[in-house]
Amino acid sequence: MSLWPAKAADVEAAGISIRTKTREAAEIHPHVKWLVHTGLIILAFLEFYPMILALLMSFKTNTQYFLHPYSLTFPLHVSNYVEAFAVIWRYMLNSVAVVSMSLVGTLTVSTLGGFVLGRYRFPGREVLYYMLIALMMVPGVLTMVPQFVLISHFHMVNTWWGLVFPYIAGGEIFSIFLLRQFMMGLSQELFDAAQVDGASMWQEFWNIALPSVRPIIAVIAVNHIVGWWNDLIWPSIVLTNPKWMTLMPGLYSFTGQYETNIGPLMAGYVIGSIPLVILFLFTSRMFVEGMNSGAFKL
Amino acid sequence: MAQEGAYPAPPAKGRKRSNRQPLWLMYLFIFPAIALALVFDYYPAISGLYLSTTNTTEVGIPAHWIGFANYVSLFTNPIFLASLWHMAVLAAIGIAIGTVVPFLVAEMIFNLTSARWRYAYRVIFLLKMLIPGMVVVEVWGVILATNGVLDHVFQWVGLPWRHIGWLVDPHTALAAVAFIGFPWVAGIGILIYYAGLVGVNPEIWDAASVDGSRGFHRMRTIDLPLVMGQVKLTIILSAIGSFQGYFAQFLLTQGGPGFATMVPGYYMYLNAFQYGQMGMASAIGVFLFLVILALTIVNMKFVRSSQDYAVE
Repeated sequence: MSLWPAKAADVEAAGISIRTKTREAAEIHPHVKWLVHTGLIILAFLEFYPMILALLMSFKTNTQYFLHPYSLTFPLHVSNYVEAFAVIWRYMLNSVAVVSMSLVGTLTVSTLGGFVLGRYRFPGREVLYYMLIALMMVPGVLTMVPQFVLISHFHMVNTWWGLVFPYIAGGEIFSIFLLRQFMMGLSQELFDAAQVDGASMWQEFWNIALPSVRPIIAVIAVNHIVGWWNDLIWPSIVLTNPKWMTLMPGLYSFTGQYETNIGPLMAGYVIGSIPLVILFLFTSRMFVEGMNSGAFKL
Repeated sequence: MAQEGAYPAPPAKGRKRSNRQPLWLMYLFIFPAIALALVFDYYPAISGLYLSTTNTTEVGIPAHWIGFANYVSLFTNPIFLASLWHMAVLAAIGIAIGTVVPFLVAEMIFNLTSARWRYAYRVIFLLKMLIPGMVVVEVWGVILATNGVLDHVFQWVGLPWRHIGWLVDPHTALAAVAFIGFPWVAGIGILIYYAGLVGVNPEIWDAASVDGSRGFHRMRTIDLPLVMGQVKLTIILSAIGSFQGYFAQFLLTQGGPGFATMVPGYYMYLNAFQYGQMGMASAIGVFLFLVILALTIVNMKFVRSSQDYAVE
């Protein structure tokens, strides 16, 4: 029995795409509404309080900090930022390199894999799929130590490869899971039409499948960028040479040097947090929409 | 409905898969993913199982098989046993927080009438997820320090507590570690629940409001059962997160004071990279893996799935 009202069905049949509203909020009392808003704003403030504090501290000298820890103090010591940036710019560049390499690798490997797993039938498909998906049950704690042993045998300690390969191998799993779901959801007509025209498998992949799953690729990319940019423990094990260090282990050693000099320390933290915020400004809509488009509809 | 069949049924969504391409190409496409998974996921996982039964000290130093001796010495090691207790405490808190807080906040956001505000709040909380955990935890170190923000708040509300630093006092250190991240709103959980609420058939809300079910009553009796799949997921994710996580230990407490905040994950790290006990470290890794696996299976089996409530 169809739940769709006849009117909507008429419109649909006429070829005009309409969607029923996913939801129309039941009217809530205005008082309740303001209560909810107040609650959310307080929560947001508390949630961001550490960042606000870091931002305030980043402009202070130690004296200013001890006298007025919670307010803006003048003069603003912008030189803290210069001092911090002089140390961490190199770590940031390293992070950009490692994250880019890992991202290209992960997206290549997982779109190809998700495509065949989602669109074709071949002997062993289920086995291979479950073999990959089973790894979602294998936590990082199990693999960290032996992975370090492996990396050492491959002479990848103190190289970016020691991050990039484990990142791809770790990142591809959930990416393939998501991409396969989305590839399966694509309408078969497109592919049939392409095959009638004699499209090769690569063409099907490149011209039809990839453009159709672009939103989920964006979600995967943003997620991975965030995870890798912010990763601390694994890179601090693999990279001990400051020349190759990525941002988080870099900031960690920076913390050691500047422990007693809170201004530049916090300035370093702020600088390290900014790139992702900028990325987010450009991708937030994509990110939120992608998230809601069913990635987590279990 | 009488109209049934008046219009052609919508095409079944892409369940059919074509088979008109050469097989070898399909294997070629999947090969890189499989190869990487074998070398960098499966091999370490399996060699971790083996390592845990050896007396490996450091990479390159020969070791031999010692059976389950590592496990025996772990479970007679008071530090490790204490770390298990701390893990249980932190996980219980983490699961409770990770399941309840995002659900409540997702409901708060979801029930706002203005689409723009709903979007804005989600973006705000998402934004927090981008801030490096390391930065957040380090600043929390400042907040919890002697004469830090928390002390000042206590002073301000008139509580006479004078502290030696919440993370330094052995009586408060574990609680302080659990408190890091307050109010724990930002995170994937909020998106999971929000997506769950969006996925609910709106007619259910109409029916509920006709029946006079609203507010907390509706949340508990109608929304909660409908997002059980999401509850299950957040339980698993929070549990896995708290079993594995040791950021606060790594950055702030080093498992101390004494061993007051030691957790197995950090003890594993110390064994592997500070104490030169990789075999022992692997045993801890294997143990944590089994705990996480067991928990996942229990969850899958006993938490009712969202299908049980499907209305269609």
